Amino acid sequence: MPEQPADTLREKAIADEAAATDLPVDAGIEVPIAAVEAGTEGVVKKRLGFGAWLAIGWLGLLLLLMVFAPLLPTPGPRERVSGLAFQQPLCNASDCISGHPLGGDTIGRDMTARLVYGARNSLFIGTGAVIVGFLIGGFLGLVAGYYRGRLESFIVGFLDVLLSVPALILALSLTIFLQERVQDIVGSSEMAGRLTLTFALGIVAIPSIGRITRANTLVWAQREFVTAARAQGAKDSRIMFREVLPNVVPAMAAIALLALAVLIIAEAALSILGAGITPPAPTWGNIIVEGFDYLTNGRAPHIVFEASGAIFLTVLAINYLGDAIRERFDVREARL
Amino acid sequence: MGEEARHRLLVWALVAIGVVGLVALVVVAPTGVTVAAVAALIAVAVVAFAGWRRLLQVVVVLVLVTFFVSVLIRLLPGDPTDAILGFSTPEQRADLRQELGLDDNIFSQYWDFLNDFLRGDTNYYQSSGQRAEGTPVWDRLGNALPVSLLLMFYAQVIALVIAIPLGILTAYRAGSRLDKSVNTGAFALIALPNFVLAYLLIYYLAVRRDFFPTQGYVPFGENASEHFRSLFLPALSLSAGLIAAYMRLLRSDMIQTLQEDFITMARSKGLTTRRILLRHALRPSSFTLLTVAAINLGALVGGVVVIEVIFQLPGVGLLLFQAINAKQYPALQTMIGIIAIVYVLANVVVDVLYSVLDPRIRHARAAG
Repeated sequence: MPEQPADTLREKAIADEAAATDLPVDAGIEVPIAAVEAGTEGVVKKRLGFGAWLAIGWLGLLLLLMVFAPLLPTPGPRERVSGLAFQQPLCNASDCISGHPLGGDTIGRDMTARLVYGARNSLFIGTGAVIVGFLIGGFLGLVAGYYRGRLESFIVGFLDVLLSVPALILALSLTIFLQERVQDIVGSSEMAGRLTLTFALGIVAIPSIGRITRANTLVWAQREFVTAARAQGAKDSRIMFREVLPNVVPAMAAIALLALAVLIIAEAALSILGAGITPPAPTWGNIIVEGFDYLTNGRAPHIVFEASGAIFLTVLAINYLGDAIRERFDVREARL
Repeated sequence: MGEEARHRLLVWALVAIGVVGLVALVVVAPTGVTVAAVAALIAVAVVAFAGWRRLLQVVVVLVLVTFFVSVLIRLLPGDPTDAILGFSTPEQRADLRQELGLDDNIFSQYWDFLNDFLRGDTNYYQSSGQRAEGTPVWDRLGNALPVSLLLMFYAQVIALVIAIPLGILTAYRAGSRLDKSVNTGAFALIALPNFVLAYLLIYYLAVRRDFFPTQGYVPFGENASEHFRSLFLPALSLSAGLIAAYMRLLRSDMIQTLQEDFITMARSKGLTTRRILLRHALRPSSFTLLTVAAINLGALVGGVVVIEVIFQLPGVGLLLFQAINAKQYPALQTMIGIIAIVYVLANVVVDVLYSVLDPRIRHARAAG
């Protein structure tokens, strides 16, 4: 078992930050003192365990399916096959149409195709948002941790304000109020939905990534090799991006992976709240929403369960990998 | 009375006042007086335990958040009144523009928004351009807020009830097969989004069997047992992640406690395992647990909103959902504002509680 993640991203980020800056986080649990000596001495490089390979396998399979989705021997995600409506998964009975292992949805579309194309949308949005958060949050954190002073307090204050609004509500309000404007600009409502969600969720990812980057930058910027680089006359930008950043990246990556998991869930949650991507284009979230009525009347529970299962497995795999990375690179965390 | 004792007294007094305030909010529904009283209480507590700086910080955050909420409506493309009113005469639009302060500059719009917001004078609009009669947002929020708070409370109770025994058991048998399987389960539970758990519970306990209703809410006053039946599944779905988090926390905390000298001492005195675990080991560990439980109140906000929509519980989340679907932008602004403010304040209270409860942080602050 890798070390446990805290249950929310926000606490995770705060705990990591506190751990890196050596503040007491929680009573009774000792925070190891050997700060960030990773890679210097006595680190046993653990091999990836079975679970991690399983996680990589699932994510790899998903990636392959997403990339080669058009080559799959299924009908398109919006194509209706007559007689396929409400077909259960793995159906063997004589009146079943073969070749649709995951069954059909309520109007006869192939569930496999819907889920794969849904993954395309959901993961495109999730990854895009993480990249937005990674770039902006990472830059802010790096600058704040390196230059300190008034700039730092300003940036930290900004991140705090972002953190002080519940993430889902922030994403929700941005999506609702921005979507139509983005649609006016790009034209297609489908693309507008994707872009708005990516942007809104990206904003949500900024503070956690920003905080962890700042905290780690603070520690690394005081190391001898940074002083050495400065003594040699290296410019600030060079020190920041060439000396400090490479050391901070593992921590950022671990948090970014956790953020990805959270954002995949958030996409579905926004759909449930009625603010996600609007139907014909499938996402894991709106597949769930479309299928919900047929879960409560018991006619086709597989629609909701397949999409939920995809979300669950993906989040589980990402969390597991995130933990493995943290363990491997000894990213400090308070064991909250 | 020593410093420590006086401190403890103060803490309990504040907690008592806080509980009374919360109950007042739930029972009486938010009125100007209760809201002002709670706000004053929070301000006093913040100043007493965290200092003026923190209070200033909170005020700045609140101003920024409300400002953000007040300009949201300007993000709508073209003329925002188009989106709010379906069909309308130019006069109606002009009225609405004026009412929302869209013609003013951004700061006086903020001022207007704040005024309406604090007086509770924000409304739903009908597509005919009229204010929907008799349904100010605050009235609906007043009815919805208690449902959401109750749901969060029940989720916490369920989480603690399940997590505490599991935590004790796994700490006592750390490293055993039981410990490992419970830990793996907890890891999976953390990755289980609460809506996914909700679907599983709905299907297997409410659709296939008829143990619980699939949706709907029964107030406590109407029928107590139905009330608990209607809220059990939503609360359980919400508590999943919490159970895992609490269990792990208690486990790692108790493993440490169990290695302390006073435990060996108790054991050498011949006390029963049960007594040692419950009386000697659990008590020092429970402080951390309770603090984290308080912290998680804030983290529940997003989950509550989603769960309420799934189970059609008339809380703030369902209100939000309905407003989104009806494109009631001004009402949405108010709700987002309320949720954000409650969240900010809850976090401040937790922060203060945290520094009060954890002596290490308290002394670090006093020293530095």
